[in-house]
Amino acid sequence: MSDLVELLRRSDLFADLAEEKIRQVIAIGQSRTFVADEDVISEGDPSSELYVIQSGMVEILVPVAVVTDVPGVLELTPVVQLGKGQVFGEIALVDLGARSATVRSVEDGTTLFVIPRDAFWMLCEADHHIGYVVMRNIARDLSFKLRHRNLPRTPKV
Amino acid sequence: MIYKVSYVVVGDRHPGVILNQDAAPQLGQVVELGGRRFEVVEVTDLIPPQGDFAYLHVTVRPAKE
Repeated sequence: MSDLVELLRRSDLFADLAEEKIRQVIAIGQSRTFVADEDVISEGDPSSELYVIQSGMVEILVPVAVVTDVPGVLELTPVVQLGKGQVFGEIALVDLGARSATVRSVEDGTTLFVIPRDAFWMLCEADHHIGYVVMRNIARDLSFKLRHRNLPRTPKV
Repeated sequence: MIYKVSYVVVGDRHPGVILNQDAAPQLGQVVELGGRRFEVVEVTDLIPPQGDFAYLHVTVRPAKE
């Protein structure tokens, strides 16, 4: 349990939450372990969970045209890898829409802390401080990822 | 301080990595991402630090063996 408290404390999604509040989040989730190349979620699937990486690495894949100017020929292509402490599934938490990307385990033994969306919403409704802090942190995390994605791929040096 | 770092790889097909770490990467440092070694060529603040977190953008290229 204390390892999970430390994990969530060091995950920016739960930054500024007191340990007591973090333990309330831990109480509604569970850990799940994946082998290498196992899909955690698939693009287009309905969403019902939020994920925090406990150990290992995952990669985010989106469909990209294999042949330029030929519509319909798509291949799942990794756009970024995420390591310990990172969160995914947060977009569906906010908009309740389908999964926007496929997420695949990169390493054997990749372990995720899985938080069910409905239970998490209930917790946020019951404790508005948790709800405010987490939603603010989700907005910050999405801003970070957007800026990461929008940066030019060439260094200034 | 906890450093949330977005690594962007140039000169390679690696998709890049986002992870949290205890120390900020330094120019010229060699870091290991997914079992491979890369040299840091640029470090910038992606967004301003807030609370215990700093948000860095780091450009790396494959390290010379």
